[in-house]
Amino acid sequence: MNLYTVSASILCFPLLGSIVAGLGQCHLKKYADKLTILFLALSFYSALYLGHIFILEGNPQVDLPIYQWLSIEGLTVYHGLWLDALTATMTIVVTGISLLVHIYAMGYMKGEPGYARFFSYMSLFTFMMLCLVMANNLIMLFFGWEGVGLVSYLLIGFYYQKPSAVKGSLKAFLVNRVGDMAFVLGIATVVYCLGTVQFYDIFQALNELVSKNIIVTNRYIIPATSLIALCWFIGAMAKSAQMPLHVWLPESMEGPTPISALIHAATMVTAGVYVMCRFAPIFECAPEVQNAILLIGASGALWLGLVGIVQSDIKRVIAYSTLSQLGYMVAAVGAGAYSLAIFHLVTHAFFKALLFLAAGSIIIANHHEQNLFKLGGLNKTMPITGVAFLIGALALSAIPPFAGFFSKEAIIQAVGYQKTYFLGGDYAYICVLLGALVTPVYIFRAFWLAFYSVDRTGDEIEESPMSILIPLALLALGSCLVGYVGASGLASGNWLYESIPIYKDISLNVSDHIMHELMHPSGMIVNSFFHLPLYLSLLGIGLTYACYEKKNRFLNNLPVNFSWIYWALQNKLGFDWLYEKVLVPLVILVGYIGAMVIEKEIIDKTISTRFVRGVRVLAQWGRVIQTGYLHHYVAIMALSLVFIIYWRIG
Amino acid sequence: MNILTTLILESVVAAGVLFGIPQQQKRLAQVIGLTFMIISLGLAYKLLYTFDPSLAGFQLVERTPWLLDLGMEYHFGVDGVSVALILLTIFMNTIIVMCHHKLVKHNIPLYLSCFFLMQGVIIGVFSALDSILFYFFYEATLIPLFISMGMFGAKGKVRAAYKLFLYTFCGSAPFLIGIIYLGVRSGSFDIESFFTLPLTWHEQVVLFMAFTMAFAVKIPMWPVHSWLPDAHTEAPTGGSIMLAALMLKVGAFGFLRFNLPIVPEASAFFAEYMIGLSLFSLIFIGLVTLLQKDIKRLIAYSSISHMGIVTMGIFLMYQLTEDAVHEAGLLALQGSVVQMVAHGLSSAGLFLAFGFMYQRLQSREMSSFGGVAKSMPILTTFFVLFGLSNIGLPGTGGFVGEIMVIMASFHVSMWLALAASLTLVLSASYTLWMIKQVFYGRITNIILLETADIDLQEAFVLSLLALGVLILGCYPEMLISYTHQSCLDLIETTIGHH
Repeated sequence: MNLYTVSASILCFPLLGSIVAGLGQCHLKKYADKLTILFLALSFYSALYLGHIFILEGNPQVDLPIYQWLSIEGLTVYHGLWLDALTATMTIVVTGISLLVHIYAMGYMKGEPGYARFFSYMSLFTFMMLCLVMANNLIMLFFGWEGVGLVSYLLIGFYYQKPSAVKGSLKAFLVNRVGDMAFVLGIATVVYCLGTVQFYDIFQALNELVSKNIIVTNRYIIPATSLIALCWFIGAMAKSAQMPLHVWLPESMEGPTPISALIHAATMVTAGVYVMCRFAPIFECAPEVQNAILLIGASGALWLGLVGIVQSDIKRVIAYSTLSQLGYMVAAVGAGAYSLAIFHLVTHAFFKALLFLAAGSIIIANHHEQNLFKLGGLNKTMPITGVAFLIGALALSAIPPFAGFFSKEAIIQAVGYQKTYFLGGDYAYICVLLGALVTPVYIFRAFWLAFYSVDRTGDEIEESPMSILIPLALLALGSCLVGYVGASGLASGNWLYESIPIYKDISLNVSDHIMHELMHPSGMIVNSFFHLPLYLSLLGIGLTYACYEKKNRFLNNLPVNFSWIYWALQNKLGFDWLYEKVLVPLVILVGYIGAMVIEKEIIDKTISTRFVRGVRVLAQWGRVIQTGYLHHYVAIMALSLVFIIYWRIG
Repeated sequence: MNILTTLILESVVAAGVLFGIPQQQKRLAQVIGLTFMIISLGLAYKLLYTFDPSLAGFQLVERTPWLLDLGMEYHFGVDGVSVALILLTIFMNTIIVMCHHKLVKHNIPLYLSCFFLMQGVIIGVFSALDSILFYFFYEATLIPLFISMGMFGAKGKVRAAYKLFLYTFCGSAPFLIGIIYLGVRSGSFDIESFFTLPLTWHEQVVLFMAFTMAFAVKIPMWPVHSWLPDAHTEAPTGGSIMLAALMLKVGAFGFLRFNLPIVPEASAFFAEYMIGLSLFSLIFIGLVTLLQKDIKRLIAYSSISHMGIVTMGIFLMYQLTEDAVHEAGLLALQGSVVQMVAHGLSSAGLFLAFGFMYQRLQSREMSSFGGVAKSMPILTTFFVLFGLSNIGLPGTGGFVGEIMVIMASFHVSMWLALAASLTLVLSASYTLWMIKQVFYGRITNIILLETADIDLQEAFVLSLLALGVLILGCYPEMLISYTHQSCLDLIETTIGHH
């Protein structure tokens, strides 16, 4: 197979599946699920082959042109594919998770109206996401970037008759649009500086880019790289749900659970991290932006995790957990440890998809009950889901040797290593450390409440069908193994080394440090016993056990004793209030003034009413002399004649 | 006979024949309309293939002495931009003819006659090279629009039709004086002869004002836009399509043909004001759009906001430094041409899809809809697609023009690009808000429960437009290869003797 065939089949099969499932009428609709799964399996297989070429064999990157999108003086855009180890990794993750979620959805969505539409959207999403990760230029990347946002919008609003779902979808799209605006500005900056949008040319002309400046005001200029990095970081903030643009992610949970797993945990939300890693060389040249990235990422890792502790909806707990984990990835980018960000992205994709799908299994078995305080005692009725959830929770809490341990431990170490270099580095380090304590607290709280404690369901609960359990089992297996395998890959230097070129000392140092001291997987497990994070994780698990299983009175009274903290967390730290009660009404107010005062009163009244009336008044005056009587006209003529003669003589 | 003359004549003859058919002869009118539509398409095909996009200057020129005493000639010719717009005109008329029976129930011959006349006249505007001819066609576009509004419009049609007429007429009176002045100065009304006319600074300023009065009303630019929302709401669906897809482009086309090459120095001087006004209407009208409750009014306001991108792209080149103008200026100009076509397709799609809904529910108020997706899923799909193009989603036509202009505006200033890119957020807000109110949620209107989805014919017509939107988004090079050379020419003429 040559590269064209491989990459074409990766890209086109999901699109084909989507079209067939979406447009196929009646008889085809019955097979929508099977067809899309078949197509995705083919795509996944090709992705594995791509992985073989670029990750295992370590071939250098390839830029495959497909067609010319635009060509005028100063800007030529040819769409094509950029293939390297990073792309291969992302395609494997995307197609793999997507395949499992497709299989899972067969069981989860059974009998729902719009069954075929659901599969069509999911395949379309996969296609868009693949466009994003395989693009060889910024325009195509942006196509995928907006495309995933669109499908996410459509899928959050899948139950379009439910008002909360429609509201959530609108919010998701609009918040993302703010980020997209910044992203477009970043693209415009690149075009302004280099006159190209092709990755190849951008990486070639990096030195030229570094020397360019952007005029902000007459007195103030900033380096182009800083502006680009800032714009793309704001874009990533929206897409990867970083503070303060994270508000859409919890509400996206209104969508069906399979898409929460696929889109809002494993793939789309990591797009921002992917873009920042893809353009690592540009971010490296903008140390002040990197500093901001580190601080915002680390803050999200701690604070949004804290909000997760007080949620009562099981999906929202996991959503806040996603926000917190994305914070870790972004913090890793900020610390210059790009490959660790991607590593955490991969492990997170497995265990978070697992957690969501396990939660979905609980939800479907309990007739769409998502409130943790109405679940309980499920370990007896749903043992397999329970084990899967436990594995996911352990991996998330960074307990060795599960997947999350390797990536998270490494990120914490990397941030710790860099803390003196950055402004506020100590704060960032404390955030990611405390995040390690917070993570097990929220996830094991959910675990104890749902699977142990008292059975509050009051219903006959059955374990979910095979189509749900098989993906769970495979993802659980992944959550056990991926960390170890990935860490070996990073340690051997084959994986991601070539595709994320870094050359600034600060990042080189951290990657060397991680490589040598941490990346030997078994050594890492041994070392972790001498590091704080593991004990923080265990402490977190212990605390929740004491609180929810042993009913420790002190812990249970915390919300009462620290009611103001509890209140702040319950209100999601006020971000939603700020947007929904201050910013949006402000915009509406301006629009209202515009529509009612300026448009209606001033322009419309002035021009169409007053002006017309003015003409009429003038005409009234004119009418006075048009009397129709001959003697009036004669009199006017005579008077005029007298006037003219007088004027000529005088 | 020259193909342009044939096209115009064919349309006018079609209009005449259809006008002569009595009201009751519905079938006959439809057959004749369809025949002429196919002839137009054939001619369009021939136009597309006889036109050579790689050549500079005007092509397919037909020039015959006419009223030589007055310095007037019968003079037609096209460049790439006009070819693109002529094809768009014929495409839109095809759409209207193909679904007229779904939108109008009475007096079909007159309805068809109106739109054939409109096709002929608008082609005339895009291809006239004599300024008096241009003016003639420019004014003549009002006649079929006025009739179609008066005969087939909604309740407030009389007020809206007069408002439209007065606005555009007041705008074009100074324009006529302007071209007469130019004609007297150069001894001929040939537009090309105006390009090389040495005009003093004061003449340029006055002429710029005169031209801008006419075209700004037509586009429309803030603050002379208030006729458009009224005209759109009261016009029949076909009228709205023609208005949004083509009439607004006539204004922008006027800027390209008159303001830029004839009075370049004044254009350069006023460019910053024009860009400022465009930006203002982009953002301010975008905010106003958020508050609209009438669906057609909302689409109309969004058109005004989107045309801001077009006018901004047109005048951007004057703000660029000399070494950037040939690249970024071209990008901006090309971007606004793409935006013209893309906006034509997407707004026509929105109006048409809404027209099918209006036919079933007889209401334009957003509040009387809700949950339409449940009863009309296919229509919803199309409407959302056109809405996405309106938003400027990559992969649809609306994206291409917008990003080109934004990229070019960065060459002027970072803040300009930032302000222009606000349209991304604003257009998404109002479009998706409308979609949410109209299509999602529960069905509140009982009529909707029994409403049938669009049938195959309606779906076919909509899918033609949808295809246009998608092709333009995925392969804009197709359009750009046609308009590229003439944009380049325009920059040369404008900057050349600047």
